[in-house]
Amino acid sequence: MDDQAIKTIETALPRMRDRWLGGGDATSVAPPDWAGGPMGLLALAGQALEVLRTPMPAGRLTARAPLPHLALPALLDERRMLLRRALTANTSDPNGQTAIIRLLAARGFVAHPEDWRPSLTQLQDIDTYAPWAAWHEGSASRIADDMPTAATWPDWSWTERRNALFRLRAADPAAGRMLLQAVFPAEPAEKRLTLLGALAKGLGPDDTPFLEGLGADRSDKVKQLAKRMLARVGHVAEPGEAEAELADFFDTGRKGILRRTVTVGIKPIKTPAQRQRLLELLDTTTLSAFAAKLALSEDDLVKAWESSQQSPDIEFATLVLLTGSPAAVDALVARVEDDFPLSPYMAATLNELAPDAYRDRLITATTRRESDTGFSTVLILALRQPGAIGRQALEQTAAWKNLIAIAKAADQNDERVRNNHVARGLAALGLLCTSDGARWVIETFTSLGLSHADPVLNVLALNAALNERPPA
Amino acid sequence: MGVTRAQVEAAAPDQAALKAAGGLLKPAIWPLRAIDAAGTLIWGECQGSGANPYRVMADISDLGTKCTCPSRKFPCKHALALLWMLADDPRPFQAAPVPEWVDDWLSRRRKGSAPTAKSSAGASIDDALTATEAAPPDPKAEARRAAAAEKRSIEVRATIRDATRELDNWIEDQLRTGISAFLGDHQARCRRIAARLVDGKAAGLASRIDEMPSRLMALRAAEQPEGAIVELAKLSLLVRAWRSRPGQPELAREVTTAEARDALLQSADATRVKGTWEALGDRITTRRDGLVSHATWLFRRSAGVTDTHRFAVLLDYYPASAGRRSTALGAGDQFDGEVIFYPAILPLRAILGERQAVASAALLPPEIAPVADILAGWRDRLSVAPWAQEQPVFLPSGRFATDESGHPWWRADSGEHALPLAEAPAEHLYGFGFAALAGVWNGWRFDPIAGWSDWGRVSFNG
Repeated sequence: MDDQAIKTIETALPRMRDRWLGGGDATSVAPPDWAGGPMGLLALAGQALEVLRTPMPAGRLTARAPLPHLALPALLDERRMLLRRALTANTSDPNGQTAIIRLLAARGFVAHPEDWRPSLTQLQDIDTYAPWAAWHEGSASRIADDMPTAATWPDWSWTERRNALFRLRAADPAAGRMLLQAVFPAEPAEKRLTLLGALAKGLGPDDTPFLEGLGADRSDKVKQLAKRMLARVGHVAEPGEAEAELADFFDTGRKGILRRTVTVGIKPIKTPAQRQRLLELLDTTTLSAFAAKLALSEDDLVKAWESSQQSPDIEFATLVLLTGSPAAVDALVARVEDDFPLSPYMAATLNELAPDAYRDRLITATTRRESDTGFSTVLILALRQPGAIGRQALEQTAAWKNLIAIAKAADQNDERVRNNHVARGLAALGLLCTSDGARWVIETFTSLGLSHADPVLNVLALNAALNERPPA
Repeated sequence: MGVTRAQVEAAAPDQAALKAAGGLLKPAIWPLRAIDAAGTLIWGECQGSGANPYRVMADISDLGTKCTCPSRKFPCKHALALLWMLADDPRPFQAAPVPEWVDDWLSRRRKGSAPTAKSSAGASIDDALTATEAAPPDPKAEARRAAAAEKRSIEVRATIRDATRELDNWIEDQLRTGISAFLGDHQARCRRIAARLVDGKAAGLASRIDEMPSRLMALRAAEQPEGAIVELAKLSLLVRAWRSRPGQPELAREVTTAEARDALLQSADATRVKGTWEALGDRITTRRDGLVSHATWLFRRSAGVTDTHRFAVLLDYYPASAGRRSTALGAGDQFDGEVIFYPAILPLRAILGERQAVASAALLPPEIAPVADILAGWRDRLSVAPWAQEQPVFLPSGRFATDESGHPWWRADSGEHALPLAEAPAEHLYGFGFAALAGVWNGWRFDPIAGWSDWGRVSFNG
């Protein structure tokens, strides 16, 4: 067909279409050599429209930057099915999925982007995936050890800024503080608060001038955080009216044969309003001011604290972790190892606020004291350091013994309940155990009759297939 | 752990199921039989009447079973046959890791949900094995049957011819009353004429028209008038072609129904192509008539880049109420074997013949010849089958992009080609570079099925 014929058809086709659109005969607007009645014209027009159609984009096409490869290698193809199975079991639980991804990272791998499709929040939660978070935010990819300066700060995405600042602070506290000082005023209050959190790592006397300057910050929350950080570096605030009011909630006494052990116990609380006030006061004071009002040192106050088994324990632990001296924090961890009441809420507080240096001790302590067959308390603490509990530690726990007892129970009426307990416990152990530990758990339960292919073993199977990383 | 014949008898829902299972004890129709390391799970693939083999699995510990066949009996004949074969001889069951589809079943089944051993009206393997003596062939009866079949065939063609005349009138009505009006009421109008065509024994045409509204709705509003004209034109062309050659298998398949599997196996016109084949992936759509259309696309790795038989599609239909089925070929699976094509000028639809899994599948992208027109294959198909609705296409290296309206496109790295996509891909895929993409072009949009990227092989729609 020559160009002229094609041009004739291309001219005729829109007219024929318009004629048919409103209804009617298109013969008079068809190319002159087309025939065959309405159906013949339809057939020819349809064929011509189909053959001549060439897709053309509306304007320029824009492609995204390549998805950056991460610092750790993607999981090997033969292991990816194990990961997909483990993630599938946690489809409705983003935290469960994130925990599995953390386990993977702890073993030196990252997920393939086809296997794990996280939200931006999930990506921002794990440092290893920061380049993907930045990519999702539309930023250019950067090399892993690239750092922003005060001048380039605006060119970086929020996730990149935050992660880079935290990395810089961990590697070089002074450089981190200087960068923070330079960029701090331009950020909104919520982000200032987050960025200030970077100072928690390596907090020391050198940070005092900057923190003191924040006493005039526009945000009360920033001022409060700065005050608490100052308390941690030994900046003792004089007790005031608030501390006096707080002290009134407590009785101090002594116990023991020689009555040498100081105790600080809470007085009976009569109304919800009283309780609310107590919590508010604990939330705004510093440990040093509170201890000074009670004429105790910070660590003595921690040692003297008598658990109320209620929410003030959580607020007190928060106070210690946010405003206490290193000795006070150490005393708190010792209490956790010994007798401080442990609950998932307390574990969440410790997980969020306790310095990383204490994580091993806290995991060991909570593991030893764990009695819940779902390992709920230790699981919270181990989320940032999964896959670390070996067979020996596990065997000693009441939780393990209870779980085995439930798995062996023969009462058929309780089978569903039993299966739920076992499934929950094994899913938790999949995240908690070392590689060897995971293999041992699988062997133990398959010897009790569980099929190797049972999906409740999925996370354990993934764990067992990923050996621990050799020490750096 | 094993299974005894007595347990199989006890599990059978009735004697008929056991007898039917007895007919399936032929190794040739079981391309796969496997058992897990603990010896508690068995699974296999049984070639039934569909394009894809059925996937059968059983938990030996409680004789729980699952099969992808549409049978309402539980366990079905395929599951019984699998257990029966294990009871008779476990040696052909290869020890293998539990595949994802068995694992998926295990994760959803309730332990102990299998029927407990019961009296199944005395179902007996011995009885099932007692072959019914085939009556000696009667030439006169055979001739009578053949004559009756011929008469029926002539009557059916006459009925279809009447139905196609009615379709012509309907199409003319749409043109006369206007495509705009048609687009405002296409669901009801298409449903009515489709019902008439079903009555007129033109099930293929009926199905095509029944799905027309969803194809049109997938287009943007400005494209729909042209889409409607093209749809009606294809119908008109198909009907004309069938009237001129009603016995031509390809046309008969489009207008009525596809040949049965057995008929295809016996057909001299069916092309059998041997080679190394790879499953690209599945495209699964639920149709308005309640059936699920399950297409498994294959390409031949051993083919030349311009080979006519480079692509094949295995097409199965089953009720949506039966739930999603897995097929015997997972995306990326490769096999050495035979694909048997339904007769056509440019054959595409096929069934599987004998095959042998390729242990270590090549992950390299397919070789793609550089072409000036990436839709040349589509235009070739239109030139011989202008009623065609889609064409598999390989695209050269490129990546996904968006136009200024935010619509998703594929763009060649060379900058010379671009195609609009049927759906926006998952966000992370915009960051992938594809050395090659395979998918289906429907004249308007490209629907990717598989891609070979800098992040490895990607399966779409899966």
